[in-house]
Amino acid sequence: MVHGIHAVLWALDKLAENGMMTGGVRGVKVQFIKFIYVASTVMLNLRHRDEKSIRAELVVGGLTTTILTLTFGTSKQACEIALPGVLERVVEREPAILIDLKEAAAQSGWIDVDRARTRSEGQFPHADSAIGARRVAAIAVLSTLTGMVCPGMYSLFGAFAIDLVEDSNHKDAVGFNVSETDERFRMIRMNVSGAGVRGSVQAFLRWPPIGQASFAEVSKVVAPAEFAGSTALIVGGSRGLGALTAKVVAAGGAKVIVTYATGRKDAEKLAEEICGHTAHDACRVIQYDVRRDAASQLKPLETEVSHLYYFATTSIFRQKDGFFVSSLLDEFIQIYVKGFYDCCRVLNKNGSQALIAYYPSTVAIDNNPLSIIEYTMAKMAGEILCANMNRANTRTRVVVSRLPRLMTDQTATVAPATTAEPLDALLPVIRQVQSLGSAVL
Amino acid sequence: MTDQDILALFTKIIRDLLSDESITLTMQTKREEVPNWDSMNYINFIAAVEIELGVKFGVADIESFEDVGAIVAQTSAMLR
Repeated sequence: MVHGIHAVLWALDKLAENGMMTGGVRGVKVQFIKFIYVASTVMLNLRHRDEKSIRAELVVGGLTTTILTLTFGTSKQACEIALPGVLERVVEREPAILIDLKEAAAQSGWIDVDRARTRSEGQFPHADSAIGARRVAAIAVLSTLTGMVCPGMYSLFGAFAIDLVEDSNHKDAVGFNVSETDERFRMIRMNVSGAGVRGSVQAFLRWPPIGQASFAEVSKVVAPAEFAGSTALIVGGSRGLGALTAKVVAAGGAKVIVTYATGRKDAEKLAEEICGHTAHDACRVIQYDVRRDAASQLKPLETEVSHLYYFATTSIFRQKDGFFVSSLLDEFIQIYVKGFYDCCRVLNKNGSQALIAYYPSTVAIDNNPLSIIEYTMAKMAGEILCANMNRANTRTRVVVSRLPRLMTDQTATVAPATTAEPLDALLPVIRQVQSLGSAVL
Repeated sequence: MTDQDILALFTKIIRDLLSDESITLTMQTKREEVPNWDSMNYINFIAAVEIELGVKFGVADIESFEDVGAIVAQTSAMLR
């Protein structure tokens, strides 16, 4: 059971404990708006209550994460599980991996609630008393259904709406079938019925981790000696655009040093891929966290770096309880401004030749979305820093470009959004950066 | 249904979705200007409008709406 559903059951338990469910609950509707992260402090706010319904919210740090609506009345009669066709039992050992929405369209089956009942037994005693332990377990199973069965691994639980029913079928199981899929949003709607509940579940099929073009694919568009003679440090090169840049530069004959802050395995896998197609020493890997001292971390390089590509990043899209969070700006400034400057400074100090650096800025500066103003502000500050580094005598020439929205793990979303092909967007920039040498300084 | 009626309905839907009674949409409002109106809630908003008014937006429209006024205009055209 993931914490979203766990929090919902906790909310039901608290509402029951405080006498809010004495009218007899007929329906439960839940909408998940934001994630609830592990170890968050969750508050339950009662927003509205009358004789017919309750509206309550789960709030984390002032941010509404979940909306619950309970309706009161007598439970409906339901003679049997009202799903069409013959359903087969689903045993969920590993999460199902669905990628294509079409695969989801035919999904159906039933899931035992026994295990969920055992797990939740005694955890929500007031909810058990108010709506029945079997139904509490059935609600818990909705989490199993979305996270393990349909759509499984790449799921996002959107909402559920259930009636509490009196069924004559005492099998402790929840049956389901997919009733609708919507390609526009990769959305799945399922009917659910059994163990005293009947209704629908809305889930989304997230994109799996975004893979960038392979070295072999990159090699088709880059000449083998195009960038020969240079050595590039790719900060934040273990994944995403940094990893793609490393492949492009190495495919052009340059030596690359890829840094990672936490993704050691990804960085090593990338180096293996590059070295498998080039010389053994074409790609090296070092750990480098731009939030820590640059000099000590870059000391083991012992190689003159001619080009720097700075893709250090962190999670951009954050849950916030206000339009501006100053600590977030501090975090972003450290990564996108101070970290970049420190890296350039150390490379310049250690090197005999001038440094050509690439600073990837963002089209978000043009659009200025309210939801990521701290990120946009930090990137703007980064741009100003770069402009002044070029004006001042820093022995560093910085190339800045505002990249369009590219398909990466950061930007993958269930909402329709146009994204450019990363290789198409990066290749001309890399060619521009590589064409610059110390002669320009 | 006039454009102003549609706008009022949109305001009601987004207030319910985001549990925020302080929101008042105008034709010029951009999604980025409304706190917490993220991509997931954009989907929920579009889905709620479709259910409420019995219309269905094309994926290209959903991607390209620049402001609330554009959604109102498209909705109004579909209702005619």
